[in-house]
Amino acid sequence: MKSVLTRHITESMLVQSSVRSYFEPLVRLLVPHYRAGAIAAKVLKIKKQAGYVWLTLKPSSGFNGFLPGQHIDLSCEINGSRVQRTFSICSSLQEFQQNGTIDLAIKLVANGQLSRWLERSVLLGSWLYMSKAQGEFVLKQQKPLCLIAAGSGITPIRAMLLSISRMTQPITLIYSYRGDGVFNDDFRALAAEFPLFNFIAHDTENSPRLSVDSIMQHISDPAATDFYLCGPTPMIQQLKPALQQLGHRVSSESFGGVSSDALVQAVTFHRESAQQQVSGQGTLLQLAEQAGLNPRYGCRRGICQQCQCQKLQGQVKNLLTGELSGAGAEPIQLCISEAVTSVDIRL
Amino acid sequence: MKTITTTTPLLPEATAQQLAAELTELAQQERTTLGVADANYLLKLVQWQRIFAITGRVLMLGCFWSAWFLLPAVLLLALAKIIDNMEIGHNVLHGQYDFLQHRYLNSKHFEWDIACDAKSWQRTHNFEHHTFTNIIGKDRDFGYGLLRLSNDFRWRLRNLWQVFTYFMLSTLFQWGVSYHELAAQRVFFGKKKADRHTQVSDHELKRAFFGKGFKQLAKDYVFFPLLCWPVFGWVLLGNFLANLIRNWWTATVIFCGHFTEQVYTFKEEDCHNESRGQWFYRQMLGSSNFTGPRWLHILTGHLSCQIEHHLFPDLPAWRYPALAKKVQQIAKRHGIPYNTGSFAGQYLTVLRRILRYSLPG
Ligand code: FES
Repeated sequence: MKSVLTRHITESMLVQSSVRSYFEPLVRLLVPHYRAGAIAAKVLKIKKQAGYVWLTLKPSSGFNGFLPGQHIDLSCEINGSRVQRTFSICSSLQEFQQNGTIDLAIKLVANGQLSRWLERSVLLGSWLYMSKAQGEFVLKQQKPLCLIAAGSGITPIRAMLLSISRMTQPITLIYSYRGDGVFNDDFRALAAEFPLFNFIAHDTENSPRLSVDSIMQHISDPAATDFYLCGPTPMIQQLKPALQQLGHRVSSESFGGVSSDALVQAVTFHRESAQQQVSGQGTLLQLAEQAGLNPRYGCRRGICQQCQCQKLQGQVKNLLTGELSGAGAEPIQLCISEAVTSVDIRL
Repeated sequence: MKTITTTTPLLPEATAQQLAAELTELAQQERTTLGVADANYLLKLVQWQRIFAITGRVLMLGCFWSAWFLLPAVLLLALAKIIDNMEIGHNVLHGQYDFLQHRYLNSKHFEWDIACDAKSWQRTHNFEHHTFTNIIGKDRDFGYGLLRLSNDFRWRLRNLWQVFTYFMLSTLFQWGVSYHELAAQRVFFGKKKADRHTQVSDHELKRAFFGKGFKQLAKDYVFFPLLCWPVFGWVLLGNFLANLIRNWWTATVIFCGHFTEQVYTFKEEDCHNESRGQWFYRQMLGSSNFTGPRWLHILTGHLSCQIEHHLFPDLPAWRYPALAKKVQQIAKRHGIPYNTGSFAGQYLTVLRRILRYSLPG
């Protein structure tokens, strides 16, 4: 009640949704890295290693901690524009409590706007911006656990494992990667410290992909074990239902759209809490209309911005300019955009 | 007296295609240079706007000692409102800075210091006015349904005193803008038009209209005066004057953009399925520029470059003066009229146009 009232008063008096955003431009005259609605974080360390950029960040006072396994939205100002992606924190809770720092291990992606910028241009001592920690992918019960990670899906799991100070249940980690297991040393050290911890490194360079059978071989008491999965969407789509069918409790987190060369891409429209998937040819506006979603529009030819929506992820092509968009969250015009990869749109 | 152009010259389709190619190329080139310069410009602008607004409001307190404080206070507050509405608001709400992905200075979240609800303005202005520019019957910005500004409209008795109507419209401009969409949808008066496409219910329109209007009235005529209690009356008066100056200024600028004598109008049937080139052409014929120093451009929100704004509504407006030179060359090459002149000169032709069409014929 009170907050509604304050909001109304700020909206009328300052014509702004918050007092902070009214004063932000002036505060920035004194504190250049201040941003309303974001937590500034200083870059303390940059390490490049085996296809990852490793950042150690010190968030400013607005950051009130995290649960191991949670992620943050990281935004960087690249040539003046804010580019935002989501990353899991990969360092331990202890490290945050002692030094006030968190680590992000960011995988370099071939055309990844943000990761490439971080690789090339981020400076020690500069400021990046982040959200509070969020996400439900955290360890819950005192039961035998099997953690399965693929690729950069290892980052939240690393945070979970390194934050454990006393291990009271058997934990198996199966880490599937290609070529260079960047984090293997950490897990081997952990295995030496905790007898209950069992680490299986699975290099897909010389062995087949993970399957339910190959997973089960590593688990001593399958019936009692809960599963945590983190990796690219196709892997989760393959393993999760299979494990659930066997009666296991499975928590999972997936990332990345499925990109393919197929002409017809899956487009998912999100509205409030509901989602609807459509695929077909045509602009995103036409697709949304075919799905009966009644999106807002005006001119239908790229002039008026009435159809502007937030793209959550995926790449689209601007039909007026022929340009390809980035892969992350950004506003797009539905009427002149066509999906190039699978795309998520918030209406 | 100069004759006012009435028949709109046609552009051969081949030329139109070339025009489209050249203008698209120009915009593309400009787009590749978007970046941190735009972010810095916008930030500086908002900083000045805040400084003017806060100093203006604080200076009003000085009326406790001397009424003379009112003068600089009103001017500063009016300046802040003008910058907020024109160079920041109008342009941000066009989505010109959306590529920055700014947290609150973007076309989805920005709200401005004016009676009109930003979303409602976007629907009528960005969509209707920018898509159907100067098409009689579709672009209600042409004369706002109050003024007769071309022969396309039948003369009525009330047009006789339309100079007075124009003055009243300028004085109440922010309310005119805010009522614009409700008038189109016949929310309070008149019969609904069958062919109007709308995605917003009358109820929502009313809510936005009264909601935003009420907030603005409360701010300028209740909250701030009460906050400065001993000088209640002065603050009330000061806010009123600042709003008035802003209203006159914005109305004047906007009239110079589309209602100068040399501006052309279009018929609905001529614009069905028009090509991109013809759309560009119509934007050029339907708009007029005026020249002046940089500060003047900023205070008009760069609507002084109305032609460029209509060609490239989503490019950051501070880039228009540089683009204007190139657009003018392109226009010249294709023999397309390019309407520009001094601010005073253009405004005079606006007044002449209003007077001219007060009379029948
Ligand atoms: S509907 Fe006008 S820009 Fe898409």
